[in-house]
Amino acid sequence: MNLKKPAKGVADLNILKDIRGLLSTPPQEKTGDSKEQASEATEAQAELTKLRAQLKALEEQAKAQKAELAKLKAENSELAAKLKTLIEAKPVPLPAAKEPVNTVNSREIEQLEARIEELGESLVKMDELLRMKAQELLNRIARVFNEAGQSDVSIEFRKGARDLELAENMAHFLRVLLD
Amino acid sequence: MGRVIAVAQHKGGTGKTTTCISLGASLCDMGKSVLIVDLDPQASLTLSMGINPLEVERSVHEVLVDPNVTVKSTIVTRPTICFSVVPSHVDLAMAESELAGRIGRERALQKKLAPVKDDYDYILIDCPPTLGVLVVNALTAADSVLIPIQCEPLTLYGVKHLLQVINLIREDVNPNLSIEGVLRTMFDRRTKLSQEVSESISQTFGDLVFSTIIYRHIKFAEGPIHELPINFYASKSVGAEEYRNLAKELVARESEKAR
Repeated sequence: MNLKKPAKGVADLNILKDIRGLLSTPPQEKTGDSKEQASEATEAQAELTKLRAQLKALEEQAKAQKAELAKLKAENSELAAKLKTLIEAKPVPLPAAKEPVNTVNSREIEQLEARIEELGESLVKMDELLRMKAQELLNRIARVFNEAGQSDVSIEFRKGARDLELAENMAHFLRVLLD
Repeated sequence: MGRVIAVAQHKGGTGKTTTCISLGASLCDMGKSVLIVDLDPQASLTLSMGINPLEVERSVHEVLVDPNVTVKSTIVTRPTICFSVVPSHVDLAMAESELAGRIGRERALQKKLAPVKDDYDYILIDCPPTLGVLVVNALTAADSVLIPIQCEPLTLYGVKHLLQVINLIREDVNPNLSIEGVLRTMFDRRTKLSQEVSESISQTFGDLVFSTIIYRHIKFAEGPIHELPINFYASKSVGAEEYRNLAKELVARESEKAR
């Protein structure tokens, strides 16, 4: 049996038909609505980018304030410990020429007490500021997610904001009690 | 305002890099100012111009992924090369994953080229043989695309995929993208197949096909050894003359369109 190969040239390739079809596809005319939608989408994207940048800045601010708060708390503890030591210390007899120990101790105690009071006030202010910032941050995050259509995630963040408020109130109550 | 031309083709080895280099040099010979962007992670164009991708401070990779890096800060010029080059780097291969998830990732190159567009008459983009985020960036940034087609049947399949992407780009992000032209490359006079493919390309693409044909010349392969365009190391060769003709044809076409 003599099998004859069908005559086929490059011009018979189906791919050329596909290419002609693609070349004849005109670019789709954008309707007025779709143009508006495209511009709205671009604006929304720009807004989202801006909000993300703001979010990042607030996060960094909150982080810096937390660090400051921790530093003040540590200083406060240190000074309270020093004060306790000084109060418990027995007076040491000194030569007549020198100032009496009691006077030196009292002056130092007064200074330390004043410093503790000052730090305590700063602590309260820092606490409040931090709480407000953290709440603001959580509400903003919730708003962003809400706007992005993820209301269940936004609810979680709002819950977080409320829990934070409760914890701070409890901390304040305890502080007053201990004072 | 400079004209941005992406030299793109899905199939590798069809003469994209050679076309960018030789056409770029030929346009320079005509007094045009040219910038070539090497958008291929293989960095063939960069290496062919004697630029070591591992030694460049910044490449097109940083241009795409780092918002603070400008195209101007990456440009390399050499006294031996008449055009400027934005070099590539192997890290560009990671651009796909680095740009993933970024809003507007397809416009990264377009945004970065905008400030330098007026500084050059032509900006040629040497595209990789893929259809990923790098080529999408090139087609979004480009005014037109030049398609080199090796005169072999398999190349036609690559053209089909490229045309599909071009149509998508036109619909979504760059409605003004046009086809600059189709360039028949690596034409082998010894084979009937080359002639058949060349004729089919002419019939299929019609007026889009450049009348200039780039034949297969061994002189082109010597480029990376000399680290120069063919216009410099073999100025009188047939290959150099073919690309000079292509440059004249390209400029003439633009003048006609402008009328």
